[in-house]
Amino acid sequence: MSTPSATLFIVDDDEEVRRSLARLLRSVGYMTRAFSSAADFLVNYDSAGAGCIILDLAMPGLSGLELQQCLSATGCHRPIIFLTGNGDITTSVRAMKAGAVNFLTKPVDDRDLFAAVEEALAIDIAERAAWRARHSVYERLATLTPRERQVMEHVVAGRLNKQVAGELGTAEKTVKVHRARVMRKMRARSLAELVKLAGLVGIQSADSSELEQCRH
Amino acid sequence: MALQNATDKAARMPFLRRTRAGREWSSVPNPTPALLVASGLLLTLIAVVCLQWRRSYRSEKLLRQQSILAMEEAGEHVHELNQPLTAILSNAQAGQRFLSAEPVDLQELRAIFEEIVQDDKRAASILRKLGTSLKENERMARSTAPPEGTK
Repeated sequence: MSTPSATLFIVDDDEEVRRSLARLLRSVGYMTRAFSSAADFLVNYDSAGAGCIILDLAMPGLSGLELQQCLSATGCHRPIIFLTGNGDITTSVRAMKAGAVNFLTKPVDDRDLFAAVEEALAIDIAERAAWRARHSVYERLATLTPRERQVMEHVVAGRLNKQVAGELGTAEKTVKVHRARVMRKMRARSLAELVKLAGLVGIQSADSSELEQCRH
Repeated sequence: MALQNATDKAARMPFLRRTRAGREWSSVPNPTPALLVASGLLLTLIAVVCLQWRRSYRSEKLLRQQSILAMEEAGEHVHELNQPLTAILSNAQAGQRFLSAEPVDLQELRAIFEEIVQDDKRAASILRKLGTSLKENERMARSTAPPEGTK
């Protein structure tokens, strides 16, 4: 379908369920990989590729919820669709709060499953793009000297060159030079763009009222 | 004086009665042997009733526990039934998709039919188990329920 390179990871302790779900997803062109337990998945799955996880809630050994916790603890935020035999509300709320994309009850209709998979893959693509963007900002940040980094933080916080110079105890001209280097190294064409890049990696910008003050 | 004596005696012995002829007799029989026998019988009766009650309470509790276990087992079977039903639905819907593709993948279709047959048999055996545990539960419920007309 829309994302041929994505892999759907099916984790279910029931062999027939695993096989039939994989076949159903294969029938519309998805690539699948099936795992018989949470432990099997943790040991053998490929964390780099795009895709989502279709996870059985009640499994012997590590349960679906525990696997979800395990994955988010190791920094894997691949979208998860839960499949469960009984639509228990408390469990589904817990799963959704922990970041599950969807919660489907068995037996699942193909349209519901495909819709959930599409949604999960879209989220995965968006998250991967966001991660790449953040990663590239971090790479650019790493090229700044400590002084340039300081200047950038002040500029992003909405301070004028003169204010930055006063704060750092240097000449305004030097701040201007640093600022130009920051803009070049961060590949930002405008202050607005620099603020946006800083926001991606959590560098605090000034709130709008402070910016207003600076303009006057 | 005699009247005074009589009232004193009446106050001391309230069970004492007097016939017109002047013979005195007690309205209460001599307590010692009869009372002992009666209280002994009463105590035995109470003990027997208590023991009986405890025994029936215990067996009722046991039956109730067994009934809860049977219900839990039935719940598990209902839950278990979801697995073959999921497999059957997914396989059947996959089959529909494979049929609308060109050329039709006969190998896939053969595997689908084989698995649907297996999963249907599996569902039937779970249903049989479910029926057995429900019957067992009903039998226990009947034996714990009070007999008709006791309420």
